[in-house]
Amino acid sequence: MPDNWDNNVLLSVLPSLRRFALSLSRNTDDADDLVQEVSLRLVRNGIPEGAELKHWSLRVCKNVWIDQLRRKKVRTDASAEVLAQSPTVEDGEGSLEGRSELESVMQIMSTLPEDQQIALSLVALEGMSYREVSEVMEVPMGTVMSRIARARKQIADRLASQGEEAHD
Amino acid sequence: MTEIADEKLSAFLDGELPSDEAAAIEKALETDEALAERLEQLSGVDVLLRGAVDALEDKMGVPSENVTDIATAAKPASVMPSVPPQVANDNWWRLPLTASVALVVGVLAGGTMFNSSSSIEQGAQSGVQLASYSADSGLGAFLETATSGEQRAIEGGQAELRLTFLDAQGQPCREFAVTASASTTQAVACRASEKAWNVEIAAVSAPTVSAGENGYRTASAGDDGFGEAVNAMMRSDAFSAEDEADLISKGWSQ
Repeated sequence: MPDNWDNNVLLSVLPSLRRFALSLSRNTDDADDLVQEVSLRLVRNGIPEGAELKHWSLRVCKNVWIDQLRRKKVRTDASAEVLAQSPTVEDGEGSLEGRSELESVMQIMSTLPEDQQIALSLVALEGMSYREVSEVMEVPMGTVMSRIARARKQIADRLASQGEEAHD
Repeated sequence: MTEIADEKLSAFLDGELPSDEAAAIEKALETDEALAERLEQLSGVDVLLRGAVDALEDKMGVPSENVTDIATAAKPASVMPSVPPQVANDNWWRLPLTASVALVVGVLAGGTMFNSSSSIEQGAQSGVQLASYSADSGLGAFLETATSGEQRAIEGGQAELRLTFLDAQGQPCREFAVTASASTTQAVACRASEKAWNVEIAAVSAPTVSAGENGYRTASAGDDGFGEAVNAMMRSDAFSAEDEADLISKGWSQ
């Protein structure tokens, strides 16, 4: 544990971490696991000198999430595919018809490339500026801008088409 | 409709466009209904996303103890709030405080046992475990009936009752110590409703700390860590002998 560790550090970012983790994993158990893993890394490795606490924590969260995805790549690919190909698949919480828009948005989100999900989550949930997102994601601002736009476009288009289908 | 790409609209939504471009879009929005509708669709995505995460967050409820354990257990010597818990610090992450203190042990011993507080095995030789003890037997009976200051030989060593207090949930809790041949385990147990005492935190303070396979270690560099942990748990002052005797005689029903 780093000498300069301040315990309030982790407590202060936990709410943000939790929301970010939920938006990425869309699943409370996975989000719990993710936050736990991130917390552990932060406690063990600390925050580098001069790093902005929340940005750093979210960056670690993003990296851990991507690591976790790679480890279970087959499973996520498979489930993403099922969702992508058959939007009426039963997910245990009701069919598409009964699913609220909230569930739809998460379902669509799950089919997007991870980079887009992460970028959009940081902006939509954390209210980060593109510059901040670019720090967290370690990519240029232009990339951030296009990732967010593509994510919004995909989700908006698919929500709109779902709405049309529902009215047919 | 004005051909303004989604990328521009999206950046506009986020206030990330240069002012001249933003002004141009604002102007276009005044007359272009399709553009306004598209903007609404795009911004609706964010609203829904926040709503969905809110819903998940509600479902998630209080964060799992594991997470807060790690957060609060990071450094036992200073992790516990030194202010009395009744000072309206009902932040959600402090709720599972008792378990978090138990995890102090785990974190310092190598951080391999976050799955549950019960994964911390027994303390050295005293046999005190983070577990539930029936009020009918051994340690449980001692906790049920002993008065502060009382010492009694129980299975596992010599037990000493130190004090009684209420925790943040209003449960009666008792700090005690069990001294075995080579070590003293300090612990706090709280009374569960079903005539049992749950050992919530435990720390071995011993000349010979066993950091064997189970990784059990003293919870802090000095004994202060344990004391602070107890302080952090205490919502009330320690009970007076009179109030304590009263609670014991009533079988811990308040």
